[in-house]
Amino acid sequence: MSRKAILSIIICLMLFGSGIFIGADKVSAAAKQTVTAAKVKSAPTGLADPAWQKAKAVEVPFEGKEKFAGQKTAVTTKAVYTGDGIYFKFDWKDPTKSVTKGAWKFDGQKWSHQKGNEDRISLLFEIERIDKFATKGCAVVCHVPAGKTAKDGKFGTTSPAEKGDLWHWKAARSDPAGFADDTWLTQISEEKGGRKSDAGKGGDQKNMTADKSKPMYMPAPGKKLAAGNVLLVAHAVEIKDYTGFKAGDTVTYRMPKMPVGSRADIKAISRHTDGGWSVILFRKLDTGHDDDVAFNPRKKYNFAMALFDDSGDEDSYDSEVLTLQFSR
Amino acid sequence: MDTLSEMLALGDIMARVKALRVPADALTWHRFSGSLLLVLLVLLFLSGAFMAFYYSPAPGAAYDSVDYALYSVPFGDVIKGVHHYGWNIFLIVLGLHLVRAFIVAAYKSPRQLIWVSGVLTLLLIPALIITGDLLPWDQNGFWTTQVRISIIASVPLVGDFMVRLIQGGPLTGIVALTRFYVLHILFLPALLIILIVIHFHFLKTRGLSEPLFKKGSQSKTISFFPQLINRWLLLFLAVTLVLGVLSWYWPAPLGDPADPTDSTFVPRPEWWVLSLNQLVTIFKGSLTVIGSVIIPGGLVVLLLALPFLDTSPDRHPARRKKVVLTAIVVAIILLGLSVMGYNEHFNGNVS
Amino acid sequence: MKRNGKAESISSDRRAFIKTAALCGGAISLAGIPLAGYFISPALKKGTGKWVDFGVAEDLTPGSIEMLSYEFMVKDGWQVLPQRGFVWAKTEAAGNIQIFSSTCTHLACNVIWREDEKIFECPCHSGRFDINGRPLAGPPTRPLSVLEHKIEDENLLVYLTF
Repeated sequence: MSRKAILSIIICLMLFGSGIFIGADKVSAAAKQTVTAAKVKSAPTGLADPAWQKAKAVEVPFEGKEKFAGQKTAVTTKAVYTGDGIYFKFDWKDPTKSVTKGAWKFDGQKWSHQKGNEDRISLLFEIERIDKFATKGCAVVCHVPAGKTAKDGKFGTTSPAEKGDLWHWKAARSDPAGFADDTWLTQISEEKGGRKSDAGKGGDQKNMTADKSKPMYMPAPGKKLAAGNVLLVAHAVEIKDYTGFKAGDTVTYRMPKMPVGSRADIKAISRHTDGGWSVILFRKLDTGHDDDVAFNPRKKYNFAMALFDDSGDEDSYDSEVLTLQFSR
Repeated sequence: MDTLSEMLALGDIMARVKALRVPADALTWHRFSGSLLLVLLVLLFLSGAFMAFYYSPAPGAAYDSVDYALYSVPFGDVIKGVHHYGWNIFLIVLGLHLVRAFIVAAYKSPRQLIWVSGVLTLLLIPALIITGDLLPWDQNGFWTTQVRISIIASVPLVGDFMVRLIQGGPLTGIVALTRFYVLHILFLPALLIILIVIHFHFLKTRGLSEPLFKKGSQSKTISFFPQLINRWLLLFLAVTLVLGVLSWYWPAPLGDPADPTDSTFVPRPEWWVLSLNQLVTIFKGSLTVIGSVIIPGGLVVLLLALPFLDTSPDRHPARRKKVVLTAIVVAIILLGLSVMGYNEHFNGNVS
Repeated sequence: MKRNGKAESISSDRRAFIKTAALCGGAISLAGIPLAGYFISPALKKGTGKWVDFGVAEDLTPGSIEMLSYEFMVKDGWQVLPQRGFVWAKTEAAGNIQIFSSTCTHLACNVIWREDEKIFECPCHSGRFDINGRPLAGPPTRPLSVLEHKIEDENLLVYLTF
């Protein structure tokens, strides 16, 4: 090859180089935040795992709705993935750890429900494209009938062809069992919203007697309470003798079940310290279930999050829609 | 081989193809841009034709079909990537092809019409890009189209009519998308092929331009088949490999699905159109027509008329000072405008 | 005789050419006119408009700029689709209303009202308009178009073209 040949090859390479540079995806909207899942060799095993250092933290702003209107908060979000799993880590400030969810309290005479809800975080992905979710986020799946308040709002898509994957971490009802509730979203029905539980079993069981006056179960002998002093269904035994309770004793009202099947896809690790929550949610990239989004690391995904601070469904902090992408 | 051609009654054609001789420098280390363009064009046609298997031209469904083709069909990302990087590189190489033809004055008599057909080919590319960009029905394609449509609409007298003609109505909806699709995959490529056939017709009858410094290599010839074909096939293999690997590592972008109600999306002009876009930004209001019609139109006329304006037999750039200088000034202005546009749209803080 | 023969062949050549040209012209117009009409026809239709109801006019707060969203069905060729968008209503005193199109007069992006600066801003090229829709800065030179409106049975109706 002559000098000319080498020169030609260099010119060719430069051509292709500029083609890539120019053709690269620089033309994107400025507004949308992107969470990039970093590729890691071995899955993170806990909150302090060094794998998390590979992921870039994204400070996702949340805006309060209804009871929290006008207030703002933020969740520091990280994501990593391995050959077959995806791992999210969320850190947010919350001085009060709320896991009460109406737990029973004995005052020496009678049982009553304590005031207090629970902390939650939820994520919504698309299984089948939800029209305008990519630009409008959760707003397109919240339907408040005209003239009604947010309390009557329904959560769901506008057609059965649109499917969402809703990850629902509940500090009192799912976390003590080590899971986030795996649910999905479909078309809104007249009566109810479009929220459905994934196939399988899970959720929680109400701990009360038939007349709803007192708890029915207590921890079985030798069984400990789970995180947040929550009694799991698996550890519960029927109360035979109520005389053993003293004034001030508390018993879990909503007892988490051990989920099975597709509903058990999302596992959770959490900790509440230093005035805030740290939560890891992880799942297989592709669970093989049709009520879950299958993540393809070559693709980008839209998702949005909501945070509930000791509050019900209508009072939340919502994020804008975000992009999830996977690093190489 | 012989029996096969006999069976197919190809003897006559085979003999003519075998007898065909072309100049030895038709495809060499220093003259390859034309052949490279042909390679890229074949790849664009192939990838485009196959992408059509998984495409449905209706708003919404279009995005889903492209998304499906990209991520759910084997080699989907490679095919789309080859098309995506292919046209970007095609446009650059086409520019270089033109610059080279200009520098060595390949447009001079008797090759005026080779130049003219080439320039017409160049003018067809924006039409292909404009119609192609809308097809994935993503945010960027949709809003870029809106900007382009409004630039066309700003042309006095005929602007509104042209927009309706291109889109088949006032809206960028299903009618517009179907039109863009059919134009992109049928009418415009057909026109492109016709122009290239014309280009080759004149190339064959008028011959390649001689090297500026004659060293007697001119009379050397090689056989069209197999020598030239083999060189071209080697180039094809190399380019396909490079584009395929590129597309595998950096998949072609696909943005969010188009949302015509989203006012927050800010489309950014593509690199090749930055200078023209900047012209529209500079000439505002009633002067828009200068930036959107008069200057680009003038440049096009100048390019097309070049062989008939610069008629001296001198081919060496040093002996064509006036023409070369004018071209350099125009090139610098266009480059300057592009830099201005780049700064405004990519570095500028769009608040 | 020879000469005559040559002339004859020229004239027969010409005759053949004219014949072919005429046939060609006939074929092109016969096929071309319907085809061109088929392609061009949508461009010949004039734009249409529609009065869109934005609800009770008195609900607008005097002294403010409010975003009024609309959604109505539009037939695009063979597909009926909701057309969504918004306009800006400037209310001075009760009854004194001005409706601005949200379309930037530069390149058709949507302008957004910024209450803190009291300007309309186009996010695409940083065009700015004052509270009366007059261009202040950036590429736009024409004011935001003021849309025709009327009040019927207390409801605000705005004429939207598309």
